[in-house]
Amino acid sequence: MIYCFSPLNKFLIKVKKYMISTSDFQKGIVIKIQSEPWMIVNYEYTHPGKGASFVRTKLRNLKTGKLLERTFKSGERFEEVELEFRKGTYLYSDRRNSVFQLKESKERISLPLELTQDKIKYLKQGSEVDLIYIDGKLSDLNIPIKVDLKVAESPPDFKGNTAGSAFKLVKLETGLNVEVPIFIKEGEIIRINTETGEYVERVSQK
Amino acid sequence: MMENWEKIYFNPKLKKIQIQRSRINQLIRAFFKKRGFLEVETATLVKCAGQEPYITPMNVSFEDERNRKYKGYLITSPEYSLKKLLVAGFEKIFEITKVFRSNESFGGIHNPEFTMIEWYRARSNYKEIMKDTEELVCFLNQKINNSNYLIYQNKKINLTLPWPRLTVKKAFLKYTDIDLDKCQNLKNFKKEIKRNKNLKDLVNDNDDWNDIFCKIFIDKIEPSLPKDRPIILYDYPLPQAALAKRKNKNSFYAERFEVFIAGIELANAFSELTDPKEQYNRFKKEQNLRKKLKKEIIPIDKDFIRALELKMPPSGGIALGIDRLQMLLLNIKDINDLLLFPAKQIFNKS
Repeated sequence: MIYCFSPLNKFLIKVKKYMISTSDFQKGIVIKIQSEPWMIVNYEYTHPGKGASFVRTKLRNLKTGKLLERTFKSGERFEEVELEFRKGTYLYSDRRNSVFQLKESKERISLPLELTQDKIKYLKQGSEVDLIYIDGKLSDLNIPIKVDLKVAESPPDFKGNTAGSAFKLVKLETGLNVEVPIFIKEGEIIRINTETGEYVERVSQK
Repeated sequence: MMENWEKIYFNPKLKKIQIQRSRINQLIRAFFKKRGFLEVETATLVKCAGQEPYITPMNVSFEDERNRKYKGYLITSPEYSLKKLLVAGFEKIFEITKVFRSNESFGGIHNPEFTMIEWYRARSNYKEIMKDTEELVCFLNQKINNSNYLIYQNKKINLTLPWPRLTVKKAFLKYTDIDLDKCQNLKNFKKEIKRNKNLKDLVNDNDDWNDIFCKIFIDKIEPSLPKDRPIILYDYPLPQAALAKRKNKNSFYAERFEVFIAGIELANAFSELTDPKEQYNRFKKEQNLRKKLKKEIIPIDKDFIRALELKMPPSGGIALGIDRLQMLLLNIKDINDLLLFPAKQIFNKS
């Protein structure tokens, strides 16, 4: 098991050094390449007609923010970067930054919006997050893989709509638009996969 | 999440994809029939699967009526069988068949079970097959989309004939400044890479020749290929062409080509290797590589070698992924939205 799947249950975890292979790749894992910490932003298996399998990977340097595309051979191994996680909650974002509060110290701390914009669309005020520290410096955040959000706006469904489409677009309380089955109504809570941005299931009926 | 048949139940408009797929396959058959090809059916359950070290066949065990046990494989390609038919005397043949491969992704442009068309021309070579391929795709797009242009994922691709062709050697020179002539063995390949600032980080100490080739190909060549036209890359270095004929006796290149449209690898073709001794040696080499990679040892198809000994006519042949072709023609990004029962929905129930 890789450490950063769900560290949400502890305030602070120091992680031992692991060697991980390409088959352990997950979005959010941080690996060491030439002693720099690179977070996996995206990855895709590719298997050319004649040749081994490869993983085409998009990485972000956690120190410099630089993006890099790199292809690894399946099975290549990497040293995992020692990270610290601190539990926090999301407060708000302005035009430049997203602001969080550390659970333990109540200290407020911010990250630039370009690092957080893909994630805050799944967060509402008070949502729990893991703040990632490298060498004592706040570098990134992890959000849960599944979040529950309320449907804020939904187009009314009229009779006979089933012949048209099985899905409709709704707006969630965070402003995010997602496709959901037509039986979902305004005010209902639904579960969203934050890796794919897709609807998973209905959580409750109101 | 819903399965595809359920999605169709809720949204009958989705039937159209399946109707179009069926139409595409009918048109493919019509295309080859008109050109005098015979459609054949070979076995999908075989004793000797493909040898290629990086393609993993699926094992099958079964019994006969006396409970005698047999071990076999599902084909990864109908290639060996079709070539035996060339030796038998069939001159222009094609087959549309299901093939099976282990270690593939469930989605994107991969599925462990997929549909392949292979066609072969006796007394011919890969140049003829290139023509067949571009004409087939153009013909289908005319019939399905009524145009010389293909719109795929908001990219407009001009299919007008003839398609651009580029040798692999030129592609490497053009996009990476690497001269493959100087990279005929692992040591020299690594030496060339070290000279190139953009490439040296890419390569690992443990990489073999093919690993380096593929990494550069995936990282540097594929993304640089023109996006508004299909492209035929041809004449691959020998280590990348196990069943292809050499360009000439001492050449480092073999007559293999691949077709890329919108970055998707659509088809792979050869002027077929017909020399039984060289074929046997290449099989042995691949078997050794499988051993080294700690992969299952697959018996060499001795019947196939025997067929070559009876003399196979010089031939050209190709394998083209029909699902990928359908995705391109119908503008579908993920194979899971194309197939009625994708493996992801069958096996990956969450």
